[in-house]
Amino acid sequence: MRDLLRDLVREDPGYVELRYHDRRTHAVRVEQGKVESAQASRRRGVGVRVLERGAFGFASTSRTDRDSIRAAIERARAAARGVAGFRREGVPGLAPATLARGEFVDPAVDALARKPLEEKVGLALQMEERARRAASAVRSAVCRYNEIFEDKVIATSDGADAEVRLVRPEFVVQAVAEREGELQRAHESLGATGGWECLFARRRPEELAEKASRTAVDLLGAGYPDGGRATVILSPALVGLLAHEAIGHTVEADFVISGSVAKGKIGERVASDLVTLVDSGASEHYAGAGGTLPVDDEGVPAGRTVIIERGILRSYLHNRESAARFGVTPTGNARAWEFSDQPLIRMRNTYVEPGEQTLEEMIAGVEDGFLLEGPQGGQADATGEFMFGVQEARRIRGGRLGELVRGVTISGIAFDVLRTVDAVSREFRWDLGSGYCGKFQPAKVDAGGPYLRCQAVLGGRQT
Amino acid sequence: VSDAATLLEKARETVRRGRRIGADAIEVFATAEREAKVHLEADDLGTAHSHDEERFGIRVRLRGASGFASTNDASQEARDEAVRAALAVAAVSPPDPFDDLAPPTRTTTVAGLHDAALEELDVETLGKLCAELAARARDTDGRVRIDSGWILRSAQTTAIATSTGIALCERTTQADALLFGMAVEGERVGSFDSEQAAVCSLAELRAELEALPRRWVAKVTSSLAAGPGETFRGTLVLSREAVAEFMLPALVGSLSAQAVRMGRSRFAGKIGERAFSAGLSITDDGTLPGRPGSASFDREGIPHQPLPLVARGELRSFLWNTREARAAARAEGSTGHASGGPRAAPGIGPTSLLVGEGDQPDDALVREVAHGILLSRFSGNSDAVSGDFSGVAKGSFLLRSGEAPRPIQETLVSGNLYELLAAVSGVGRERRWIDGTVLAPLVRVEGVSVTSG
Repeated sequence: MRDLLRDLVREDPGYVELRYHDRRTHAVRVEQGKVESAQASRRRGVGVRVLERGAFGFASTSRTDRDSIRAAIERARAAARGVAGFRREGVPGLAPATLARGEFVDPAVDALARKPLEEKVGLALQMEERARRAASAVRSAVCRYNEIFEDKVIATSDGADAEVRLVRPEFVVQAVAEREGELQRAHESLGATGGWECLFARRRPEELAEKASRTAVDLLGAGYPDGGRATVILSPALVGLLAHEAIGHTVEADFVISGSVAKGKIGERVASDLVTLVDSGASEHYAGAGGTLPVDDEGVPAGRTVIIERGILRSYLHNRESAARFGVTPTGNARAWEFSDQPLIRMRNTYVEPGEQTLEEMIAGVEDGFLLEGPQGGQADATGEFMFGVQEARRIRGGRLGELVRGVTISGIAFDVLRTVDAVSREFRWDLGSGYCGKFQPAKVDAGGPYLRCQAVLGGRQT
Repeated sequence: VSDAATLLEKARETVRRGRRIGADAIEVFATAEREAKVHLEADDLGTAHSHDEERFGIRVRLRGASGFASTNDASQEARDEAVRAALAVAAVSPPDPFDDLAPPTRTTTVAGLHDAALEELDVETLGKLCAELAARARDTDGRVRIDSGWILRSAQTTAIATSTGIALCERTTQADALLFGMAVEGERVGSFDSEQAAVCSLAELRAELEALPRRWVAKVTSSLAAGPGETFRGTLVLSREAVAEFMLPALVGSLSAQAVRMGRSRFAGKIGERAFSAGLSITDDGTLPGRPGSASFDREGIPHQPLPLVARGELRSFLWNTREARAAARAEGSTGHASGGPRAAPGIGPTSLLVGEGDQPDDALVREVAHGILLSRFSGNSDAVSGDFSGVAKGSFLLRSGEAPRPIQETLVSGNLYELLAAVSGVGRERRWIDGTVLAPLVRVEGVSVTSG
């Protein structure tokens, strides 16, 4: 395939980008002792992007022979010509970059592919049962195991010629507990770029099953917070969510061009000097982060981009088109979910660098506040306003952990919240590896960081 | 891609070959899709996109167990390979006596789901329409910034063939239009918001392209003047979008027969009971002519049907597919709510949801509020199991009796959805389709906690 794509981009005048993508998945879902679904899926094809008359045209084909790809190139050219006359401005061109050449193959791919499906289904059955039997109040449990094998070839007419092979497994346990008609749900998850050993390197599956059940039971009967502005300690997963949702999206160059709150703020202080925030294609600090990729879908090496350095906004995230507009080097953030998707500016592994303190020291410094663990999704706005759901919120009074409360959501304006950061732990975790970012198409990302102490608004209940 | 007859024949051929390869029973669900899409990016036309693809979802039964595999390679070799992959999955799965294939059922063609004029819409015309859409938004209010958007035209053929004797196919067309972005005025940046429409014909698309920019501009400019909110317990008026995107997903998720069987629904055993306020009625109907949520058969080849879920506050039915109906020994069988496409085995889901209209005009419903929030969009978490929700009220307004609605920011709303739906104090009489699949009025509920930063 690599030879074929290399030949085809040489044959065509102008900018042509060809991306072969073969995605194979297995997905197993066990619930109440039964395999509710077990599925294999394969989707492959070639996405073609051309730049002609100042407009991009994109076409995709699930047929991977020479004639079909050539026909797709012609359709992409026709699409570009079809809209070029209606554009207000032409595409400014593509920023030059040192484009990737060679093979980038994770050795874990073949090992995980060889591991029998029976063992994966068996583990899901065992862990669902373990979660369901962990406490008498647990009414049901779910265990999911997914694996995504990615095989890509990227060739561009200006020199990219790369093959990338990765695998991304995920493991999720969910438990539902019930008491007197009240239902509470909790979940634990892992996701990695790497093999079986990488997925379970830091947490065993048994630990996830028992933790999900224990949390669901503990949430039964837990009270609600009053709500309002509070001192909070965010766990690494929530710090990752903050870095991704509330900051990361506002610095994606396409959002910046549209007028996000980060526009025009390069060089300005946007956070406490304890905060250094990074997006990287590599798995920094330790291996296995779920959004790891060596090369982006324009063929640009996916490097490390410091977005905020000691509180100062340093960079946006770019593809080659936006880098040309801004006069900077592309950061390797162009990503497409499947062959039929065009590359968009997306994050990879987004995190806050660790600091100096222990979590215990950070808790001891809180007179009245909350320790927040376990994200339940989050969203952010062009204004930097964010919202995160929290699975477990524990009161802190007089520097000591207190009771669990539930139904907690935190919100704030991201840059305002980051300015209030007064403590950062030295413990660091990647903790959103089972997550997906949604920006018109999914993207496998990871995020994480240290524990981080700041001020935010908690949603609560008024009586 | 294949025409309807060819696609159905490929599905039937795969069934025949699947039986020979070793499946005890087999279902093949296939789609052939032709798409053209023109994007809007950063206030200008973006990439034009053309895509053709066939997909096959293959469900097999082997010694009482099920397996599923999908492929987008239409060659006979790839379909055979997918059959073998499905059999390999079934071979390592425990038996499931309920997950058998659906029996053949008489179906009636739903009208208005295919429009030749829409199918023939080319990329250049889409580009022109897209440019006009963006210009109409900018002309309405120069402060708006289109971050992204699109017009998508798709023509799809769906076919299903099973070893139980089902052999059906249908052609449909659909167009989607979207505007996403915000308003900017000097240093003030408003909230992101989007407006979307989904229709089945070119005439409807042209009408939507006139109305959609005005609705989107009204949304994004309203948040520019947003000020601080207040902390109180009071009334929540759900916009039509909030009804479609916040209220219904959690509720309808709890009305799936699978959620009931798995102990994830608080409505188990409550059919026939008054579970909600008398003002609330919800019907699912996948048989409406010309609606994007409609089809002549579901993911298993069973016809859809109008299905009252909630009638004047009384819980009437859950959503059933064949597997859940068998597991519950439901004599009437599936309600035609097997959902999904060729990339996954059948699930359960709604088609078009219709919330019954009330008797109050919108302005009266809002004017009567003593202290509350008009919730335009909910950005937060809503747990279908417990009903607990907490999130930010986006693009929303503070309501106080005798005062004009005031836009607010940094305001969180919290409560329990199921308790709120037992405390409905008003339903509007003016309904509108949201995203093509939910017909919603305004819904007013009491007892919501509001927290301002």
